[in-house]
Amino acid sequence: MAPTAPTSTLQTPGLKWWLTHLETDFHHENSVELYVGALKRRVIRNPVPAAVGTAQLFLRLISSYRFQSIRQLVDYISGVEERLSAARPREMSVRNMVRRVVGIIREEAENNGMGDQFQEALRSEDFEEALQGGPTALKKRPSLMTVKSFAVAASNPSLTNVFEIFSHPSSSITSSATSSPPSTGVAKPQSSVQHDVRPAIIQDIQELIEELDSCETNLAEYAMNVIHRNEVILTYGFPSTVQRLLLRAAQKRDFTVVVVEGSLNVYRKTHNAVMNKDTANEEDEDAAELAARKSLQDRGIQVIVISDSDVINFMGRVNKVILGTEYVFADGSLLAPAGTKNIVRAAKARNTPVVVLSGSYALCPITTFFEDQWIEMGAPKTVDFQEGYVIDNVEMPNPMVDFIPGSYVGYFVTNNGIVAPNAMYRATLDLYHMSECDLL
Amino acid sequence: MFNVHPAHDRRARNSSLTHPSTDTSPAPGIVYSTAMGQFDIRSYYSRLLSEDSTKSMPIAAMESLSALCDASKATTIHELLSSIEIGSKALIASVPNSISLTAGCAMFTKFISAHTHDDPRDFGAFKKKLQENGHLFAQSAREARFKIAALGVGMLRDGEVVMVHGYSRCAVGILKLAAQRNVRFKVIVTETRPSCQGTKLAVELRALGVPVAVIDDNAVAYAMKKCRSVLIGAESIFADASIINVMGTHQIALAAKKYHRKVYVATETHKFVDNFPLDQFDIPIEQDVINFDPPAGFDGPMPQTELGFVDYTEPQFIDAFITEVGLLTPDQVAERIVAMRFQ
Repeated sequence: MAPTAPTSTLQTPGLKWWLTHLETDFHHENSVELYVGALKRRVIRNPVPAAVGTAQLFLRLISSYRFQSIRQLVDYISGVEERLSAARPREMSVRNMVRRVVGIIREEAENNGMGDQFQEALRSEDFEEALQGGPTALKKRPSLMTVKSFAVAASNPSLTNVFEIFSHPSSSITSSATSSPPSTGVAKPQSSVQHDVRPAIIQDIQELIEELDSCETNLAEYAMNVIHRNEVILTYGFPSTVQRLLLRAAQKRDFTVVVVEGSLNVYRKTHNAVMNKDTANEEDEDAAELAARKSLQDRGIQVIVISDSDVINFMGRVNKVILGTEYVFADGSLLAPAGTKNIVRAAKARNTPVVVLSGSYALCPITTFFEDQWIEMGAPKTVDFQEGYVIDNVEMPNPMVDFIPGSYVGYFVTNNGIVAPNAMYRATLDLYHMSECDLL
Repeated sequence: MFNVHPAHDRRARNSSLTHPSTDTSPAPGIVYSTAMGQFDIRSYYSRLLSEDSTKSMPIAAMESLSALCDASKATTIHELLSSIEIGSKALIASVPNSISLTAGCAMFTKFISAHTHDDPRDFGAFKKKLQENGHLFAQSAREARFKIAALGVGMLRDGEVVMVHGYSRCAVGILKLAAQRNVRFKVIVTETRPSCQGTKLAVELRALGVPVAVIDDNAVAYAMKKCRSVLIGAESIFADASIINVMGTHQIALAAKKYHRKVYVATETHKFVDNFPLDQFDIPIEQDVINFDPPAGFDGPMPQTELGFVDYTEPQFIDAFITEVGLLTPDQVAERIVAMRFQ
């Protein structure tokens, strides 16, 4: 966690290490195990690396897995998903990617006339189990493949269906009534299933990975819609999505950027980003790209760095707040680096509009009762091990993220378009072809 | 006379909710009869309600209409639909506060008519399918409450203090399930005068070992700071996600807003109504709450009927709806209700 820790001689494993591993010595069992470990040890952390790593893993897994039916494939994927989610439940882009992969499988199964097989694969009794299963059953995260999420949407494109229990009334209800289990005669084991759908699935997953790679560029496309001439833009921590957007806007427009340096968790990264330096041995893959990139200052944009304590003073002069995010929930609330909530509250007090940039990997089809369960605590930044006596005597909590309700946000910019917070659930559910949010 | 709308005004608004009013039922509304036989939907309905006190009005209505479909000797789709229409009208006319009943009937009718395009050739098979679906629909509506309990139990965790107003079967289901699962939560129950639904709830929860504090309805704002969330039910949910619920809900929602407490509404989706009132005095129920000319010798507040008074709460006071299809924001609820029109 500490930004200073790894020396340059020691190769720290990160996303690059993981992708190299997948390319050189991928093994369908060992690699999953390794990835679980990597997630647990925070070797792979943050939404983007986790999303890319997961999508790449599933690309390999599906390429190598031999399946007889769609059901088998879906079962296999959900089995892997459970292990990954258990390793790091708060890194929700892992789960989001699996949702996308399952959506791809559904689409391809339907294209090949195997939609009913997919439906059957999803008709698990998870929910009924949860209803009867007593205290433990619902404590765990709901299974990804519950009836309520994918099954309905698949057979009925209208996601707002109130009568969705009957979305396939003509066939299933009259024929298999209620008693017979779904596995009657539908599952015709075709050895050709994997030949039919696999190439298409793999191609779609590759497209998904490309989408992830081009996510920031796509977001930057909205620069001209978001930033206008002579505006004063305030941002917190200067995440790379915001940086890209501002750089794109700087090609055509003149404006001022106020960067809040952020809490102790992020200020070093902020300073590096402002100086257009490599972001503190985070992931070094785009180091070359960064070096080649012009900084905002090169483009003649005035950049002001202020401390967190100066936000209220500055807010009156700011036209717009542009923020990055970690995850966005279906109700429009979001998780952002700790300290962001101060910014949005100051913005609200001054009626300054808040724009949040979010890649599609960060959109979670999730609603929640408890906000605090999403807040991860990190090690205190102001003391180190030599000062153990301090820690013995006081508590020094260091939350890594803030939970920000959707009411603070003006609009979200995603790579699928601009979305208002109260329409976020629709955008999210459409993205995953789901009819309902998961409740976590 | 601002408390009660003129009767004709009310009927005009209601007609968009229900069905065009034509007096076609043979006996004065009570019996629906065909040439082949008779089906008394009202007695069937009231029998359902009296047999099972946990049954809510819309569910009983749906079951009655399913039974009507079974009994009907209709030979065409239109005949069947019109018998459903007459049946639901007879039901609606029989109760004073018909909003949730109307919702149940409308949803059933909508569901049946949504399938009329499916297979018009073979009417016998088609009718059979409709009947099956109708029963299935009524059954899933019954099961909704268990799903709500299973979903909503997530709002309670150890140390939670929740304020409850009224006796909503959905809300109670959540609390009881949490008690069964040994969640250590506490409940502040409002007495909910004059029906004293709160006292009833307190007795039931205490029997399960849940610490309950019963407070006066007047103490809601006083006690609000001591709870973390508010759980209520709803009699109906309207197209803008406003709700009507037992009298006092609005003030509890106001107090919760003041103290930034979450307000959850536990409800089934078959209580959604595609219409919305504009304010307290626009709800399509006649209730004599404010009366400057009370009956002689009457000093206290106006007496309530068996159903009790209700009030109207705007969506901005509600954080989320706990329904059988998940935890929905008011926006999502509104969208679902509007989407019902196109089905």
